[in-house]
Amino acid sequence: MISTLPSSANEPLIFLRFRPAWAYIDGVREFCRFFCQATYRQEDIAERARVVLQETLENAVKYSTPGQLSELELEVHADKDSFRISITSRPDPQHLKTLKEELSHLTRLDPEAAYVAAFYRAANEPDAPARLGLARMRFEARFELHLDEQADGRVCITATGKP
Amino acid sequence: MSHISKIESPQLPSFTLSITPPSSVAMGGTIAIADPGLVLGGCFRRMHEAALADGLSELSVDVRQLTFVNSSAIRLFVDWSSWVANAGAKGYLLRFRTDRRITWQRTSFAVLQSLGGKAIALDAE
Repeated sequence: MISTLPSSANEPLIFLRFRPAWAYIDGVREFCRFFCQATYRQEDIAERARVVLQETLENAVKYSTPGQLSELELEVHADKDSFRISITSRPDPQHLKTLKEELSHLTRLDPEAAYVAAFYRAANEPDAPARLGLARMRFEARFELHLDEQADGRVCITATGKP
Repeated sequence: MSHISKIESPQLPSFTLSITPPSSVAMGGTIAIADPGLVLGGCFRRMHEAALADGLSELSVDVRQLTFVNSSAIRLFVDWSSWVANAGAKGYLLRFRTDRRITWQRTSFAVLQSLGGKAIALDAE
């Protein structure tokens, strides 16, 4: 029987490239959820991956720069000790600035405190965007987030967690 | 006829809303659409206003079958919790029935309870 778990986290379990369209999110999320569930045979990691995929894909689709160069790359890397989901996109500059500020703010707090703070902010700013997604990934999905700006103008958000 | 019985369920393929007058609501399915506030926000607001108009002391909202939501949908519950917390003496107790095995419910409703204070109750199974 062939193991479903790659021998190294450097070898991607999944690699997908697609146009940043909302219509793809449900399908990609559930496809990846299935892969995670089948690989680890644990419902917990599959659910956590589902949350990360939903939130990162939504952000990437909502804020991608329109045009022919616009595409998303999704990679899922997994081994027995680590689990990593990366989304590379070409966001509009204003969103990139907001994203960097938000991540910087979040990582100053532990995941639970950051999630609670995000709820209070949303409650106090009823007409503003919710901005719960990043904090949710850290607290609910137990993934840490890292942003990498690439030389070609693309941005990679990587979520890393333990299986 | 109570105000809450007049509320129509939104037409959304993956989401169900069932209202049982005088004071019970059940939600099921998933909410992962682009703008839940635009599609469902008005309905949540109408349920809140109907609960006030009907003079309910308590409204039960069963979300145990609502298996997955995006963070924009969690915002709907944040707003509802804020409305009921700010309603003061004329308000009602908003009682959420949740399932601890569903991750988003376990993590998010505990925070909602702290946000809404005494206006929010949780029955977690």
